[in-house]
Amino acid sequence: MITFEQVSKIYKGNVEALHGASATIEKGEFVFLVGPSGSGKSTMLRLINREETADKGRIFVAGKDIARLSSWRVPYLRRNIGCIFQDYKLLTSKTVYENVAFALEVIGRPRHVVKAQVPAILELVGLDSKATNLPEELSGGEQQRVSIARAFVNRPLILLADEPTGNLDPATSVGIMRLLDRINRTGTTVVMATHDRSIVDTMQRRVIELEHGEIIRDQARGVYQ
Amino acid sequence: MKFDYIARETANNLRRNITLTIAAIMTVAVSLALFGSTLLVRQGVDNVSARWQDGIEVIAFLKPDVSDEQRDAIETTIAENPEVGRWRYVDREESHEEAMRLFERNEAMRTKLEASPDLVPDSYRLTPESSDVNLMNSLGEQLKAEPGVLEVTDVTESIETVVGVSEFAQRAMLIVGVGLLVAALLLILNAIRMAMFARRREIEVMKLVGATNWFIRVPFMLEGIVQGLVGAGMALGAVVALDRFMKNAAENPEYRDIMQGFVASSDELVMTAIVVMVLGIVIGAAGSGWALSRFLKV
Repeated sequence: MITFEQVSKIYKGNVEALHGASATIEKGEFVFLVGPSGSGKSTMLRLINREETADKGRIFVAGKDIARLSSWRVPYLRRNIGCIFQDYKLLTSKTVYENVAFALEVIGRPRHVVKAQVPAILELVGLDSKATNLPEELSGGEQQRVSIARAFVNRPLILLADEPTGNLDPATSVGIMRLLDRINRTGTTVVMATHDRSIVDTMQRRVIELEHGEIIRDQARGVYQ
Repeated sequence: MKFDYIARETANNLRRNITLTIAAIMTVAVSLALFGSTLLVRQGVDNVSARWQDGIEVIAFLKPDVSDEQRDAIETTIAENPEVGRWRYVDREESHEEAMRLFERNEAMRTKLEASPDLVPDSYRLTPESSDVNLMNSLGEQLKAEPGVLEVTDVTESIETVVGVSEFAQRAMLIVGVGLLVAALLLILNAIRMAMFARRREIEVMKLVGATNWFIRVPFMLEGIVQGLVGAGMALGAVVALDRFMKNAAENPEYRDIMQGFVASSDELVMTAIVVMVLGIVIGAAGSGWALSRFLKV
């Protein structure tokens, strides 16, 4: 589903965020990216949905070399990739329902699809009773659920999660991980960057460890270390 | 779906940014009003110049005590001058009637004229072969040298003054109009930039979930175009009002002779309207397009 071939990324000021990284992630896998801050985890995620482009090497997503995608096709790539973040990135002026519906509306989905899918996904994340609330009226864990609903409502092939539990307490984090696990079981490939040792250790999934932009460990059913 | 989304977002942007939107619209309106008026008046002045071009006259007024010999000498001079096209003699009675007609509404002047019918002197009216100013001047000099001639007036001078003044005014209006048009462009640029800043989170989410670039851009483009269009509409109102005013003035007998020529035809008004509206759209689209290409990385 996702292949990195000797990928390097150099930011302005000669900061090499990623150096010759190679990895292949199969369809339906659940992968943790671990490593200290600045080790290149977020860069890998940003390269997958082409928020950034690689300076060296090639990246394939769903069989396509994404560097060769013309810019007008990038949005169509992103429709297959859901994203969630540490800070949720919810729109504060919109209700829970509107936040999720927004993701479908702006890619031109017809109204009846929006009306059918939004309540279903809110039920999946357990927020059907909070559909009319504003994000600020929800707890952190609930806000993250809304953002997961928004990322998943279009049934993407891939879900990218950049430290989704970074702002949450351990108990709430477990709930979020259960949800991501459920989404993974539907066949969605999940790639999650995290610092959360206990989550990685309990989940027992594939772990890719980065340090100074290099992959130093790639282990099936791994732990944080 | 798409249509109401775009309409709603455009309306929201305009409302959210109401002060800047109004500033942009007003500037577009004032600049295009100046621009359109200049265009309209220019067409009027062209009409006037064209009209006077074939009616140009040199008038030689005669001294009240002119002798028959002097008069004959003048006639010979005129008849022998190859530059003179048509010419005729206007006697005291005809001059008097003409003056009475010209001052139809001026009671004081009429009373004066009636009291002394000889007030307006006899004159020769000459139409030169060409409207060359130099030829007309030399003709004037020649006539002035004749002993029986009191004064020579040359209509070109007054036309030149009128046309000169109006050209100066037009140029000034055009410069101010263009300056304001640039200001309008920058205001729209900034209004769109502010709108994008206010919606930066939404834009970020839209990009993440795979909204197309056009889908993100269209509401901002429309916002700029609406500002340009509304401004142009207001400017058009001002131009039409000016046109009405000139047409009314032309119907008033007091100014008829002066104003009639300045009135633009309805075709010219339609042309002006089209130019104003198109310019409004162009300014709006250019301002928002500029903002999008500079501040919206997709």
